[in-house]
Amino acid sequence: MWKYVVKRLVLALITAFIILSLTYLMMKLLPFQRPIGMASDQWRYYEAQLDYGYVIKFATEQKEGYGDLLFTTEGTDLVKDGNNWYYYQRPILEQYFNFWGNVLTKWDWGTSTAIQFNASAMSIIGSRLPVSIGINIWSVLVSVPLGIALGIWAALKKNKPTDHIISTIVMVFISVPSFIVISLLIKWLAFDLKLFPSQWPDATSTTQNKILGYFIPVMALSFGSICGYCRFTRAELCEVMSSDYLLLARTKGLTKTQCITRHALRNAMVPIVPSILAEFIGILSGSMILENLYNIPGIGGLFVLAINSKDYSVLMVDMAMFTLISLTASVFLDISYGFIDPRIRMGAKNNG
Amino acid sequence: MDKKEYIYVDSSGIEHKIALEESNFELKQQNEAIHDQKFKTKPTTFFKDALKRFAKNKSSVAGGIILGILLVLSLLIPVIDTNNIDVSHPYELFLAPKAFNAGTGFWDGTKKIENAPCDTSKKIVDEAGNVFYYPFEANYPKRAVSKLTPAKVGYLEDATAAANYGYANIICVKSTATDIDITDEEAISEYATVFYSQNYAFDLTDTYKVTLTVLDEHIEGFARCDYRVLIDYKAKTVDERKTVTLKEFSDDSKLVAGAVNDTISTLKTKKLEVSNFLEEVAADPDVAANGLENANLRIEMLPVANSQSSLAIRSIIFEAENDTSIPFTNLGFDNANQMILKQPSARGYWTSTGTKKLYHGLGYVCSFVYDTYEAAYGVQERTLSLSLVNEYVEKGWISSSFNIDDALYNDAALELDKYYKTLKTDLTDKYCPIVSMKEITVTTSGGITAYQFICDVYGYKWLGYAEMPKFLFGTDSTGNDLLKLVFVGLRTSLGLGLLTFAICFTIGLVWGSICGYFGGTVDLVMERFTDILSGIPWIVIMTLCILNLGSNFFTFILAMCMTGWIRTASITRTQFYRFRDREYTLASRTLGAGHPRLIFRHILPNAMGTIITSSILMIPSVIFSEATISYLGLGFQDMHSLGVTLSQNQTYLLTNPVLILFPSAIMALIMISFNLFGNGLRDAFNPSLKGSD
Repeated sequence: MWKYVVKRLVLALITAFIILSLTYLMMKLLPFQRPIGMASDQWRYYEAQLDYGYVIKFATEQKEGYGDLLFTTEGTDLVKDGNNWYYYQRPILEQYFNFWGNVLTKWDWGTSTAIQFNASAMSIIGSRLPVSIGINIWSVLVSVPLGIALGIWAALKKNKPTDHIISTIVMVFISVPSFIVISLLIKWLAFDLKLFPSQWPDATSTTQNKILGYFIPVMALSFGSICGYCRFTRAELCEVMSSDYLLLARTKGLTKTQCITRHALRNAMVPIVPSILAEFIGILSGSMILENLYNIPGIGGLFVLAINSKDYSVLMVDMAMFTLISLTASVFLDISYGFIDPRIRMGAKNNG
Repeated sequence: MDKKEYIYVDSSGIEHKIALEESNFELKQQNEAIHDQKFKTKPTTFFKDALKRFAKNKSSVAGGIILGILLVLSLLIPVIDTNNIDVSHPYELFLAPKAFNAGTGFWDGTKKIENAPCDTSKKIVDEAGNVFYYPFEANYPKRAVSKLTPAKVGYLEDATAAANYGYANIICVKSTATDIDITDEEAISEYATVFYSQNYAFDLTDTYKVTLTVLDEHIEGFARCDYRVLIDYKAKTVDERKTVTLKEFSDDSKLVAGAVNDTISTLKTKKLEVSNFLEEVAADPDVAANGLENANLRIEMLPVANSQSSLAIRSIIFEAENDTSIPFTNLGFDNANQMILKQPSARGYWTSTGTKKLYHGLGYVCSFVYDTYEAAYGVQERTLSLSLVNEYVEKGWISSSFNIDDALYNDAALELDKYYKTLKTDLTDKYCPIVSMKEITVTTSGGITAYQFICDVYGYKWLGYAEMPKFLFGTDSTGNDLLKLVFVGLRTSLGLGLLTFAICFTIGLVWGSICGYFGGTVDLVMERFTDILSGIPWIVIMTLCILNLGSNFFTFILAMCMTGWIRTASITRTQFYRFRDREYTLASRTLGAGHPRLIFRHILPNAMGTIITSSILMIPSVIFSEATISYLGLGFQDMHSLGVTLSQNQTYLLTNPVLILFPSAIMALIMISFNLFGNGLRDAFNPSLKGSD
């Protein structure tokens, strides 16, 4: 078991390393985005980049070998010692090794060039992560009980009108793309009925508004998850309900309720619980459109903001974040199966 | 050994002995060979059986039929519908969906407009004493307005209100807050109407002055409010923005008689000056130590307790003694649209779709049914150019009783004038747009004579239609036919889905076959590769591809195919594992069959059904991914797709919800029917998976 866990973790780390490397190199292949701002801020930016080893500076202008000139102190009053400096990009591979060096030694993932000029990209992500997590926790708290309850209900009334109605609704909500649901929710609840704010309340608004602001995002995120849990629970429970040991339990004289609560539900929960944990991690990256449409300052909205403002450092970290989140979720899912279900012995020799 | 004795026991337990010899047996059939008999029932194949199972699943069949209809429509409509969707049609914006003739009340090209601002210059009173005002002609032409309701006082929430209520360069808006405590800073900041200047790096050594021009007279119930001027500034290296109140002006305007519309431009104004407003800022120790980063001016129109306050401001002028580059030398309001007013609930500024709205504003509003087709295509006044008129003359749509050839030796300009003055319209021609020629103006400047023909024209003929067009889904913000846009978009999306499916399926099949058939080390290495690849979120791959290669059809396919084949590969691999070690395969191998025969004759045919049906659900997910990417702003730049249409129309969600509803409905329909169809197919081919969706 532990051998399997370690093996899975190592594999995930290698995967993460390869993916992040590819992402970094692909981002570096894009044309360099010069930050826009006051000369002194720009100078501060390039000096910091120099320390990190992404940029190189010369006392004379270089004609060949270093690409376009990024920045020069010539003609500005930034130089105190009389020497003018010319800044160029280092070769991409050199930057790549320095990047890993900085990440591993200083936990520095790059500097923002547009969203918050000269701020560290990781700090921007850090300041936005709590908002995303907050919404996701609420959405999980709402969707897990509702989804599982609906799923159990549908499974118990299998092939009856109740089941058909629930299944149809689930089918519709799973098929309809989330942005349509979000748009309609905002239009209907915020603008027509005026129940909730039409966009995420900012830091200065009243507590009541802040609480009301949670409703639409949580609803938008929950619909999909509720349907997912419902479908999953129904399928699992239906399978368990038709198994022989449940028939045996009934024959032994247990009532239907006893059968369901003591035998069916417990076994059906085995695959459901890990999926809840994985979903909680995974949902973080799925709310990009929601955060964009509802102006939520989370990491999903940041992704769109970074693309639009061409802040590639922040974009890179945001993508790294999504990759790490989804990898963690899959590792978590695989490992928790093994812990929760004693029948599953992963990594054991397959004798079949 | 002629006879053999046999013993048997019958059902009652008695033993019997019988003796049999060869002659006891005789062959019944000696002349005929025995062959296998044909089955009484019809033989069935795996596929036929699966189809039978599929047909039993009614919802899947329904899904399949809807899918088929949508597919046919997406191929037919772009060909049948001849409207051009690649250029903008400025006269046909936001037409409502129309399937039936106007007046049917349903899907007839009309919109119900509520609380539109009224043009109070023309008052209509009916017999019962109700007062009616028509809406502003420029926004809603009178000819398209029907079922007008009596005017009432209401909020000016309509997007056109800001433009209509700026009179003579003055904005006047009433605040509806009547019961607020003006000593309460919170209430003031909630209800005050605020104007912010942009941030500017002020020079502390310079002398600045701001002059507000406000009304000094007011009419009953209007123009009563106090003003105050504040400065928000940020010192260098300090994160926080600080605010200093510079000056407060209490309202002492004089009451005069008159109505808003008549007198507003003649009301007297006064100037409020605030000079040298940087003194207090410069005194701040933070600023003194580190210097000023930037500052902005804030002008607040304070609400008046227990009365409806309003705002009447003509201009705000900033001046500097030395600094000539100051960007807001004159921020006077040329029209009311430049005014940004505060949103009542949240602290933000409402600038939806680029139009400023008036909040806290009260005025006369009316509701009515607005026929968008009549407004765009009805008989209306247009000014035609000379070249267009000459074109119509050539086509024979209009003629003149004055023969120009006879008169050409005289003064040419005079003769031409006479010629055009006698123009007559041939009303019998069905293409002739002109109803009547109203006026011809001739202007001569610099030796060039310009003719302008003011005519009443049939709008639709003038725009080149032979008869009044009908747009089933209406038109969008560029005047393009939404029906065609949606189905051209659907065609793109489906094409994208099918092509991606084909490519991914091929790659996945080959990859999975190799993994599954050979197994062992080959499988292990290839599996690790797919493990790593499938760890990358699709959104990351998509973004990287689009940023590096630009957003077009082939980039999308490339990005989708990058990880799309993994699912097919893993299903293929499982299927190969399943059939590789079956007895019949082993038997075939023992008989000397090679790899190709084993793969193509024994394994693939059995596995194919499951592989295809499990992979087909890739198509809706590709369509979904494309729409998502478009929503994030990385969609196709040169093609129409459902996602692009949806994201372009997102801004009109409130003003024109049908623009979102129709594409959404089609999108939802295609996703639902694809999922139903795909699940049905999978259940049919693989009954053991049934119910797991």
